[in-house]
Order: sequence, then structure tokens, then C-alpha cells
Amino acid sequence: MARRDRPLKVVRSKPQTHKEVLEELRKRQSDRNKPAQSPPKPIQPNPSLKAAMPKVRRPVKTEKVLKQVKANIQEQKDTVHSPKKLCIGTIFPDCGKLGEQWLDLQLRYIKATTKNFHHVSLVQNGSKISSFFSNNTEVIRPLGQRNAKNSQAHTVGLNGLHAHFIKHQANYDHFLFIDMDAFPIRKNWYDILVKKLGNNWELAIALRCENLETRLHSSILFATKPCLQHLKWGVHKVGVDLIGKSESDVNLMSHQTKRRKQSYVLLRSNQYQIHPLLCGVYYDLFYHHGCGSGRQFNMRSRPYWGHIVPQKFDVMGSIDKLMEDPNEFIGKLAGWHRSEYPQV
Amino acid sequence: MKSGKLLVGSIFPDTSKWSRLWLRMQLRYLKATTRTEFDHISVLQDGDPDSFSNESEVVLSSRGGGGSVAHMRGLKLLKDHFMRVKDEYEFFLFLDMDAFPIKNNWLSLLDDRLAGQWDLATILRPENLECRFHSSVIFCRLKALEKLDWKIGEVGHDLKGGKENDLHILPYQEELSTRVLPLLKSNKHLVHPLLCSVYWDMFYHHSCGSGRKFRMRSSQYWGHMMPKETPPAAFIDEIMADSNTFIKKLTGWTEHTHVPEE
Repeated sequence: MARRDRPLKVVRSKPQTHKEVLEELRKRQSDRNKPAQSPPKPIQPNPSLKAAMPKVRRPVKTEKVLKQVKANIQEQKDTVHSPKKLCIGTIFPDCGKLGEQWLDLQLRYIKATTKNFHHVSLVQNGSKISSFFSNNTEVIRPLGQRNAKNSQAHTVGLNGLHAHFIKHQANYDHFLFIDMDAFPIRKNWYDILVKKLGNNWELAIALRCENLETRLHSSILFATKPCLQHLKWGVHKVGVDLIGKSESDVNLMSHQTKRRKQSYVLLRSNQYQIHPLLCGVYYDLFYHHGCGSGRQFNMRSRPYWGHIVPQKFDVMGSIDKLMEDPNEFIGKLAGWHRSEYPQV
Repeated sequence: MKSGKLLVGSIFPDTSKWSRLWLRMQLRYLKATTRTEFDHISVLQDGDPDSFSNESEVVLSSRGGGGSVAHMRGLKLLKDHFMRVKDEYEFFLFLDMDAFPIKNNWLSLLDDRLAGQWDLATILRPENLECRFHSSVIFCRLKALEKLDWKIGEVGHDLKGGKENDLHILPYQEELSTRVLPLLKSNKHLVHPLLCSVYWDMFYHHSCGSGRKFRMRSSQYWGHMMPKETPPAAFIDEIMADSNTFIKKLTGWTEHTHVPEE
């Protein structure tokens, strides 16, 4: 029932003739029948009439509409492939729950710190891609060697991301290879890093001296477009580590020696440490958890730090703590500029 | 050789207030953390050696030169002295004036770790982008002491790819580099990326301990996060006022020795 305080709905299934409508139509008809003396005044829509008139559904498949639909599709395509400053690529072992948690946290931090980016996930194993992955990131698959393990698998993943970046390089200025348990944590990190690189360095990459490593570590690798073509990884002997032991692992061969001078290293910068190796902040711009897959803690320098931390470490417990309150967790570890770390 | 005895040597630029305060601090911590008998020798680069300390044997270094040159001369003088009395000691420790051990029973822990694998332990400061071993702390036995020498010159490239040209330890920087156990920064809490450092949870090194202007290789590198006004003197005041509280704040991994005030 229509009442004064509850007016009729505007949209009705059937047209309804109204007294006022009939009067208006009669008036218009008489106006049209009169001889033209002056240019007809534009008809002002009567609000009450407009409210009373039913909305007419236009036929969908007119030529005009089809044109519009085509234009919309093109616009969507253009949006996906429009030039972006930064392409970010991450390797995930699979689309499991832990991978989803890391992807979620990584994307939250990237969105809170980065203006213009596109995100790609290289999923190494598993036949199905979860809806969380497909809804939030562009998923790509590795090029062959799906059964590779450990360092070899990491190299396959890096090479897969690299191939993707090369293919789409025209759309971007910079490329970030980043482990699934790593992400930028500082507002404006991109501008800070690009300014630091200037014309002297072509990439920025983590260096984990705290793990006695001399090799550049691709957990965080920020590359300029010109250097993309040079990047090359392998699992090789790098040399000796800081305590004189043989060091053999994923090696960014292109930059370990030959282009080393063009590589800007990102060193650990935690203001506060909960572990000398895990939960690291690098250059006050990136966080890297370490052992993010939940694997057993067995890093190279474990015995070196044996006198200050236990040989066993509850990796999953530390991941839970991070996930529970990342703002507080990372804010405390990074520490130097609390207001510069975003709340996610 | 007297079993277990340690000889500690340290270099001081002059007999100023800062030098005296650091010497007192160093001796306090050595006494509180060293479980073996030790003697202390100070190389004084300038000033009257007789008025400097009655707890440390004081040797006057020849004058002239500054910075790295003076440091090298001091280290060589210390080594010469160590070699003259080598038969009386088993262990040797070179320390910058603003460096000292902070962990109880440090000598035993460190010597056990070296245990035939490494000849000496010394500081490595990647946080200052350095690839050279840093002579602010060197711990060794006689076998390594005999080989020790120092040189000022090109070491190679620092971590940013620039030339590194400074005082370094021979022959351990090159031929014998795999015989060195580097002591890395281990602060649980940092007040500065370069100053007030704890190494391997065992030694404290203040840096710029003379109160000189802060000017280190990596200042620019850390420019986006370091406090713009870096106050070495303020940190010196803080540690001198209450070293136990200050050092406890920086370490924190394990329980550290409470060092009685004088």
C-alpha cells in the first residue's frame, strides 16, 4: 500500500496510467497541433511525472551497446597491460595455506608501501591454483623441472620469474624478485632505493653477512630494466664464506664477481633482534623472515651463533607471532623510524 | 711459557680525560670478565707516560703521523713488546682504547672455539661496508702473534664496490684469511648502526671513542635511517655514567657480568 510517508516505488513491472500523466499527454498533443510561431521551448521534465513513469528497459544488443561493451573489454585489457613502474615476482612452493598467508601479508605490505605495481606469483608445485591466488595475483608456472628441490628449485623459480619479466619488460621500469616470506616495509621504499641506486648501481640485493655469506642473496633483488638481460642464476660454489668454509648455493652468477661493482648490497639493519639470523630487516626497507616455508632451522651459521641462541628454533612459532600482529612485530624489529612503517 | 696467562695491549692517543676514562673502563671489564691472570700494557702516542696509569705498563710511541699511521705504529710497537715477553704468556689480546671484553670467562669460550681451526679472532665490520679485518680487537696465541704484521694500503673493494684502502692485518687479510674467526656485530638492540657495537656477544667497541667527529665509510649508506645528528660524545657520556645498564641494553642474548663500579 502506498502512503504519503511511503511513496510508490519508482520501478514497476507494468506501466500504470495516472491522471496527471493523461493531462500532460493531452497538453503536449495540443501544443504539437498548434502552428509554429516561435521555436518550441524545450520541454522541462515534470518531476512528479518522471517519478510516476515506469523505467523502460532498452534492448541490450543494440549496435551502440555492443560498441560500448567492446570498448569496455579493450579498456580492461589496457589496464592489465598498461605501463607500470614496478613488476614484483614471488616464488611459492604451492598454493597451500601457509603460502596464502604469506601472499596475503606480502600484498598488504606492498599495497601499503608501493604506488604503481603489478604482482606475479610463480607457483612451483600442485595441480590446482587456489581461488585466493587467482583472485589476488597473476599466477604463472615454472618452465620445466617441476621436481627440483631446495636450492635447485629456487633457481628454477628465479629463472621462471626472470623469463616472465623479460617477456613483459616493456611495461615496467623496475623488477623486484622477492621471497614469499619477504616484503617491503617502509613507505616510499621504491623512491628511496631508486635514488640510492642512481647511475652507479644497476641492482640492489640482500647480503647476509650475519649468515657468514659472501654471496649475493636473491631473497630480495631489485633490478633496473637494463640489467635484466644480464641476470643469471645457478647452484654453484661461490668461494669460501666468512669463516673460511666452502660456500655453495644459489648464486647470482652474473653479479657475484663480474658485475659485483654494479650491485648495491642491502645489509641487515634491525634495531632490535629476536634472532641473529631470522626475522631480519634489510636496509630498513625490507623484511625477510627466513625459513618461511616452515622448514627446519638449519642455516649455515647456526653453530657460529651457538653460544648466544639455541641450536633449535621454533620457526612456526615465530611465523605465528608475526602473523598475529605484523605491525607491532615489524615495527619493533625495524625500529629506526616507526612512523615510516605502514599499518597493514 | 706460563700456562693460561694473558697479555693485553691497548693504544691511547694521549693522556686526556677520555683516554684515562677508557683505560679505567677497560681495566674494570678485564678484571671482571677474565678468569685467568693477565697483565696490561698501554702504548701512549703523546703525553707523559709516568702520569698516565699505575695499573698498566705504559710505553711511549714515537710521535708524528695521525689516524691510521699512528694506529699502525702503535700496533707494531705492541707486537714488538709482546714478542719480547712472549715466554711469559699463552694468550695475547690487542684492543682499541674504547674496546673491552664484556662476557664472563670470555677467554676460555673464545679459545675453545678457535681450537685448531682458526689462528686468531678479530673484528669484521660489514656494517661499515668493510671487507678488511679490523684491528680494534685481535685475540691470538703465540703461533699467530709471530706472523702478525700491519700495512696501510689497498685491501680490495668494500661491499659497495668502492676501493678499500686502510690499515689491515698481514698475512691474515689475504693468504691466511681462512685461518681467521671473524667476530661479527651481535647487538640485540642497536642505538646506532655503526657505533656502540657488541661483537659476537663478547666484546664491546664504542668507535669514535676519542670523541672525534663521526666520519665513517658507511655514513652515507645508512643516511636514510641514521639520526642526522650523530652524537658520539653523548654515547660516551651515557656509557661512562652507567656502563652496566648501557651494555645490558645492547646485548641481552645472555646474562652478562655486572661490573662493579670503582
